[in-house]
Amino acid sequence: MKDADATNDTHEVEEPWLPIETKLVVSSVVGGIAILIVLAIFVHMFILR
Amino acid sequence: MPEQRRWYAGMASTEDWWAVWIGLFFVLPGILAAATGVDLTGWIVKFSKWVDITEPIRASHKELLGPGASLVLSYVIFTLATCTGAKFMQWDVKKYFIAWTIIFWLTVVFYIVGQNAYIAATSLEREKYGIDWSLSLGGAYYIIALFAGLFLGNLTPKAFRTFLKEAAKPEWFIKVAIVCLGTKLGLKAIEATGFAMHLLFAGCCATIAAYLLFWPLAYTVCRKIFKLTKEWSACLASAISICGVSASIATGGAIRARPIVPIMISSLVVVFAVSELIILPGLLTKYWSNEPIVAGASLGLTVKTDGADAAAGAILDELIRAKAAGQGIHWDEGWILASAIMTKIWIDMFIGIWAFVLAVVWVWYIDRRPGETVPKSEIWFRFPKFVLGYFIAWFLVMGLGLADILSFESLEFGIKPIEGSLRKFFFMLTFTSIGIVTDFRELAKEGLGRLAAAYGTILVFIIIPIGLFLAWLFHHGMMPPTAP
Repeated sequence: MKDADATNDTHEVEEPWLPIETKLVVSSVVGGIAILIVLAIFVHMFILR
Repeated sequence: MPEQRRWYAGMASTEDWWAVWIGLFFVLPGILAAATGVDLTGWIVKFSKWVDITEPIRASHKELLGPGASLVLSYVIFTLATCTGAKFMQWDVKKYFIAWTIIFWLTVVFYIVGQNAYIAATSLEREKYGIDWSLSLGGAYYIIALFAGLFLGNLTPKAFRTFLKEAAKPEWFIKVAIVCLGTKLGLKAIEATGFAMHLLFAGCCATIAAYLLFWPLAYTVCRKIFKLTKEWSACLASAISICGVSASIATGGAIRARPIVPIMISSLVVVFAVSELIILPGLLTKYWSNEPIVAGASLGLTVKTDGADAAAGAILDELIRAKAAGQGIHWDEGWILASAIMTKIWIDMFIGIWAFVLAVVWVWYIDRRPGETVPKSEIWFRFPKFVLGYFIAWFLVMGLGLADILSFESLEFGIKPIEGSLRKFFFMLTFTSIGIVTDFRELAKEGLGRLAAAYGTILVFIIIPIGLFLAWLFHHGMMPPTAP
């Protein structure tokens, strides 16, 4: 549990990049691009005709 | 080892749940008013633009009662509601009441100042108010509240500013406002027909794609380039990608960030949103007036507070229509603004979904120590409960309207004072409180400069370019209806 008033545990303390962060970032980007393509096709077919 | 807790633990004693109870305490009379026709919400005080000092305050339904009575009744009922919450949360109710009273009336003053027509009126409204010039800063009351709050929190005697913090509860106030925001989405969903439905749907598609790209890119830049910790990076990425202050606070709850983290980021959100409000409408008018709906939607994706987005949309609406009128094209008023708002609405929707995703990731992967087992129930305890209130309010209003149980007009009659007047006032309380609890000495220790640099860099190089591209991809060729 972090101390609400702590100032030493700030963004100035470098934390190692974890494998789960890679998974979170990559899956979100890949999901975003996939959804972008699908929705763009959908919108162009049905709304922006 | 996590302690054993019942699923309903905290329902009567936490800020999160009390945001739900107070939010629903206001939403349910709105629905009852819609069902019965009895005006149960028209008393809520509303602040309007003014040049004559007798004009800025009135009741949401002005035929119900006078301005003074509306203001006093609002004070009494808001005070009763929040003091009840304070009592259950075992705060010092006497101190809370006095500090709340000071904050309430100061916020009223800031709101009135910010609504002055010389500050807030748009260029098309100047004639209505009989003035020659105005700054066209429609959302400026938020920044006035923020800066005045910063003054109170940093430059007044220490005993006074410490006392004010007894009732300066930005997270609580904004959570109440977000529950009320749910009703606004419900009304918008019922209202949308024809071209509006196309706008709403295209805006939804753009938003889904946008936030899935914004968040990971913003998070990576924070972590890799600006070397911020996971706590700061997650809150900042949510704020700049999703919906500013609300998302920052929801994320802070989901990942158990220290309170100072979302508070500091919220200050940045407001300052940058007002900067965008000043810069973007002019630039978009100059370079993208041939795609008015695209320009409006891009604001919804890039301006991270509701107030600044709506104000920027209103300015853009005027500027682009005036330019088109010079070329003999007369577009109907309000559609460019609608494109800005309808995109922003969907961004607001993702607070809850993303808070859930982050709660799962942080519980199971980031905060878990080696060998420790974390029960699934921990996700429930971390999930920001006010989001439940927000979904309940949204689906209740939308369901009653779409099922034809209540007409749109009756729902608007009961709900409009909640989603408009009350929600905005709680936003104002939030910004005053953010200023009061923001301690510059603490911020200097935390390194505000680097956070501001990270926010500005991500905004300029990720959010705005991708937002413009997605707005174009999902809206290009859409034109506002021409004026009758």
